[in-house]
Amino acid sequence: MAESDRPAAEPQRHKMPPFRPDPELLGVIEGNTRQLAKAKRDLYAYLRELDEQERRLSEG
Amino acid sequence: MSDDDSLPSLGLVTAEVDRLVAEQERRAERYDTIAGLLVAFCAALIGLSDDPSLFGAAAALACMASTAASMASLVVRVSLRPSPRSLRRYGEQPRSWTGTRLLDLKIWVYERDEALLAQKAARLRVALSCVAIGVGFSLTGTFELALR
Repeated sequence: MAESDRPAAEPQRHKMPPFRPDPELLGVIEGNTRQLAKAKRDLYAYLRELDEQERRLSEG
Repeated sequence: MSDDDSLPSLGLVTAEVDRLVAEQERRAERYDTIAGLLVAFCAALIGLSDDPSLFGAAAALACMASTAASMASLVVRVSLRPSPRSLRRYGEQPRSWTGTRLLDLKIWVYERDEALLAQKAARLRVALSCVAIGVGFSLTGTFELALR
């Protein structure tokens, strides 16, 4: 079979890194610092939850 | 978008998320406009009403409740964005890595803002219901006065 007759190879797939928003990247517009502090706390808690889920998955 | 080409569709995905975020911002602005108009309308209705009957009092009460709900809706703000100073730390990272971290943050903020917008919309619905009740009472009071 000639090289040109071969079916085109599937496009190479790249793996997206896991969903990990960086809390330190958060900022606010309109200077609402209380909202920013709460959002950071929420995001850190969410990341801890993600870590916990990953840990449980790797154990189980 | 990614010059190292490790995530070829990252730019496409980010553009779509940006479009959704812009649409969300427009929605928040629309809610704020409606809330502002409701406050003005209620103030006018209370100010112009000279109906001394129970209907007039009920209309004024409903309008005050609507104003309170509109203000409560205006208080809910969606104002989280990436911080320029923190972004600076990413200058030395590969482009696709930075793009992914930014995308993740935008998605998280979008989902959080959706919850806030739902809250904003719920308060606005209460305000609209109250103003409708207020207008109803006001009209009933006017008819009652006319029939006397």
